[in-house]
Amino acid sequence: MQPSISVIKLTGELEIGRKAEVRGALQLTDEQKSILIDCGEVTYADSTALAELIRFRNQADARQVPVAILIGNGQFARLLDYAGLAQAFAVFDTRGAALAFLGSQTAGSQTAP
Amino acid sequence: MIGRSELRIVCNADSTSARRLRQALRSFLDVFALERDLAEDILLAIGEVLSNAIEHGSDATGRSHLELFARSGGDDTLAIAVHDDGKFIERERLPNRGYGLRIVRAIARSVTIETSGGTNVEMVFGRSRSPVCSSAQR
Repeated sequence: MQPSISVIKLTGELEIGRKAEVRGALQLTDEQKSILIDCGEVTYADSTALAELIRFRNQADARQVPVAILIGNGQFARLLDYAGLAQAFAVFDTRGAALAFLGSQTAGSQTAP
Repeated sequence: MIGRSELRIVCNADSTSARRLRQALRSFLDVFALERDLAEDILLAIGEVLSNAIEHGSDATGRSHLELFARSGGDDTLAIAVHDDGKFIERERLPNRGYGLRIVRAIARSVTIETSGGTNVEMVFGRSRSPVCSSAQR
């Protein structure tokens, strides 16, 4: 049986002017068992987005809901690096790798990303 | 060879200011034909300072304006300053804003913060990657 994976797609420039929108998109529900945050079409992200992702990840961790982030360009990866958060998220540059990670987590594997 | 170039923008601070100022700065940076990653990093650093200023840059009367001033130096550098009406120390104590300055310091060659008459953050960037600011050195 395939694990249930919820996809939250974010696009464009994730900056202070869209803070409320990003927060609204990153809401955890009881039905979500595994979450892919698709940032493949994000063209810019800053610490405003990071703060919302950290808030969401903390909520998900508290409920043991695995979260993977799909990134589409180097800017997001460098943002994590500069913030000292490169290891704080399960980040992937292909959808297949992200889904495989979530599948393994949902199946109870403790394999690190 | 590119001569000395400057960009100065003064505007009210609101939720759209950061994006508009980044767009203007992007056009200014295009003149220097920077490496794409470097240009993105400079825009990120300035975006962080602008975000902080927009969120917390009002003075005691609620007045809130931003000034962005960028200039090229003769030594292969770009100096970019952001001025606002707020107090920097108060902003640093707020939660969930601890990453912005860390990001700026990771990208800029130098960061100078002055807090008299508001807050002025001046950053100096190289126009090319150097060992000082390369990812491997961070």
